Amino acid sequence: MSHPRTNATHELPSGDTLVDALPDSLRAAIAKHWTRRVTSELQVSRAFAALVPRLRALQADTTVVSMMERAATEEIAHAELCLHLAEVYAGAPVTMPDVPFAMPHFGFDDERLEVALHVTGLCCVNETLATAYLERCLSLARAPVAVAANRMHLREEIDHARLGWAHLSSRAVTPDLREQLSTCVPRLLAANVPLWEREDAFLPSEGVPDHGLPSHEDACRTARAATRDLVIPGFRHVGIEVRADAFAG
Amino acid sequence: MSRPVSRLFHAVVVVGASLGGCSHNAPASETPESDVPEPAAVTPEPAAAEASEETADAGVDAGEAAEPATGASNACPPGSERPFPPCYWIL
Repeated sequence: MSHPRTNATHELPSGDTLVDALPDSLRAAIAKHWTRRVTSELQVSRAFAALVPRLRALQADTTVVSMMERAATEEIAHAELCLHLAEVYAGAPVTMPDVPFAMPHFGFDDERLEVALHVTGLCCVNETLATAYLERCLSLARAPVAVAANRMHLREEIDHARLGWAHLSSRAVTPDLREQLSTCVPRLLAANVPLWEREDAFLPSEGVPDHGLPSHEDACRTARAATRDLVIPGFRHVGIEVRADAFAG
Repeated sequence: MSRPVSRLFHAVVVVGASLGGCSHNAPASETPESDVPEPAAVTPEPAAAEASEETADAGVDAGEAAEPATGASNACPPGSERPFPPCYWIL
């Protein structure tokens, strides 16, 4: 399936002397890494887009609906950003990949719970972990193109995470729904956190820190710390009880 | 909790929850660290987005300038444009 372009201007450098200094094999590996991230950004965009009418139908907070709508567009822009990086590192044009996508179903009859689980998994878990990961990437990056890309990405990813916390703190999530979510969150964590701990299929395990790509060990440590200190306390902050050891790995 | 994570907690979770509170009532706060600014001690600055070009840390600080109101129905900073007040920009 093809994807609409946003026509957004990212104003990223089209080249970078630190990129030019890399060995060809490493440049190719980083290009593949960014091409893979094109796919994940587009998948998230489509999930956000699919949730907009469902949130609206449930009369969710208008702020949340608006933020979700905007997030769907921004994730397409992120995909374009990733594609640009792939091309900078490849030193050649890269084709926008086709993206398989199917909205998962959690198996509950209650649409409010289904939607709340999607928002929780996508925003409160995945996008919130992404903010910690991107902040780490940004703190490591020295190559100007990587600094600019991570900064831009982080700025918008923070809003995507926020919209999840906004939804959970709104009246759309009733006390009974909060109680149901508290039992489901450990399963959401068990499904998502290990994805952050997978070895990157293309990068060396020591990463490429100057280019904003942490080592595998660093990435795992960041994901674990963010789960423990950001995500789980976040649920408590919005009145959803989740045990501190809800994700022990 | 390390200071960077604490700042991120505030910028993402506390500010995010307060956005839900813009229209509705947010639940009571449980901020795990005390090193975030008190609501009265910060002033939302639209210019924070420009200042934030300097460093990532500076950017998160700019995000903290957003109102961390909890449990209040008037959670949006005065003069901000809903739903995306400029002061909510982070970096």
